[in-house]
Amino acid sequence: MLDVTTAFGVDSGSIGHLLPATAIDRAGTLYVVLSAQLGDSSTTHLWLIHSTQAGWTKPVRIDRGVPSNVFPAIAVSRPGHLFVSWYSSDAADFNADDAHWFESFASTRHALSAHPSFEQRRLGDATPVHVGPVDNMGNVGFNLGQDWGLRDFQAVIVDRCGHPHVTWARDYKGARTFTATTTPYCEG
Amino acid sequence: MRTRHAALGLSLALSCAVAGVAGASASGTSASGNEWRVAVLPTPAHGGSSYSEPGIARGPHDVLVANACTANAGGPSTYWLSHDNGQSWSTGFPVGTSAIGCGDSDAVVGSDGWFYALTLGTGVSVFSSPDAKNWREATFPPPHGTDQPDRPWLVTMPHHPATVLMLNSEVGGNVVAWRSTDHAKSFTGPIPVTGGANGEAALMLGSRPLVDPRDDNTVHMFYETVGAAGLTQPLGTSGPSQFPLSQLWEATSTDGGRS
Repeated sequence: MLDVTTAFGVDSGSIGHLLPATAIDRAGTLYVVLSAQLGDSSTTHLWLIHSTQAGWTKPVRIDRGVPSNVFPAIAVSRPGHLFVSWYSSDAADFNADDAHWFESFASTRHALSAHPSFEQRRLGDATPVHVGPVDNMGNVGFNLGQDWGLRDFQAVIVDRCGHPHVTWARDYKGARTFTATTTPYCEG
Repeated sequence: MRTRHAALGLSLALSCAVAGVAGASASGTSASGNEWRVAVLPTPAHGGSSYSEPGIARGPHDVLVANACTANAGGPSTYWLSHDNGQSWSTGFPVGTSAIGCGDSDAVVGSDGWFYALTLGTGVSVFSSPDAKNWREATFPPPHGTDQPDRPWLVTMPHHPATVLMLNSEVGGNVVAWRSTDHAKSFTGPIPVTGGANGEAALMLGSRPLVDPRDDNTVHMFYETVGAAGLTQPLGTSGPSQFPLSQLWEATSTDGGRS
């Protein structure tokens, strides 16, 4: 069991918006990414841990650039090659009424190292996927009047070539479901 | 399944140690030089559909299946198929019906190409198909259907393609598994996945279970709960007092989900 207070050295906090993002590689290594809001800070960042023979690694931060990052999804191709997708906003708090959210993506080939560096980018166009707070209590929050437009998660997988396929939702200016992958496509 | 109490020990003083064409697209280039293609999954011109909580799964022969459920909005679970590794996608379609639309959905493809879909309505309905066209609904023993399930997931075993697991929480609390060995025609269960003095918070929701590619009898599932305060509350107390979630747990089965 991981407890946010001991794992991150804080007095309080949340390890997420309901569901941790998890993956396993062909060597059996387990990867977990959490969106954590630590202590009194309003910011929410993504943290990676992975299993080792000796237990679990210390959390390593993934996202860079903006303070609010929620609903991570992860996939792994070969050991250490990790793909992460999530919703991000430059709002200081995920509960901000004026938060504009966009789809973000990051990857690293060195997720098993002590200090992996991630290549990060935004996916999609200039239209936000969501404007407003993001419910972090699922249906419980919905019943309390929270903004549950994006519901609770998104997803990413890898194909047989090791290419990522990301899918996410938009509820702003027309509800849609998106997919994205890299080209050239994996075929033949 | 058993709960592995010391699983996430960190060294951090842990206490327990388709045939349609996708719609509008956009592109961009990453720093590594790969071009990204973004597509909107096509929705039917008539009839309801879902857009949120999207999932995506891969099958053999470059088949991908995506799914979405906009919970408690009245629309059905929606599924999309791609037979060319995401270059094009079918128009979204429902599988089965539910009087209340969907609360959750999921879709996976077995290593032998069988398709599986589920919808959480008043219970969890699981459907299977060898061709994604002709679907049949699985049967379950009691108390399935009256167990107030939540966040169900489907799991297939790559080396045992007829075996399918469906895991869900019960009354917002402990997670159970249902197991099929006939391509999800019928399931047995429920099999306890979580439980025990320290793992039994009032609310626990599991992420998609993971099958070890080296040995598909090994299945992992991670789930979040509230801290000690949740341990004093009865199962089913899934109100705001259960937040923020502050603990992460792991459950592991080493016998293919039999226990």
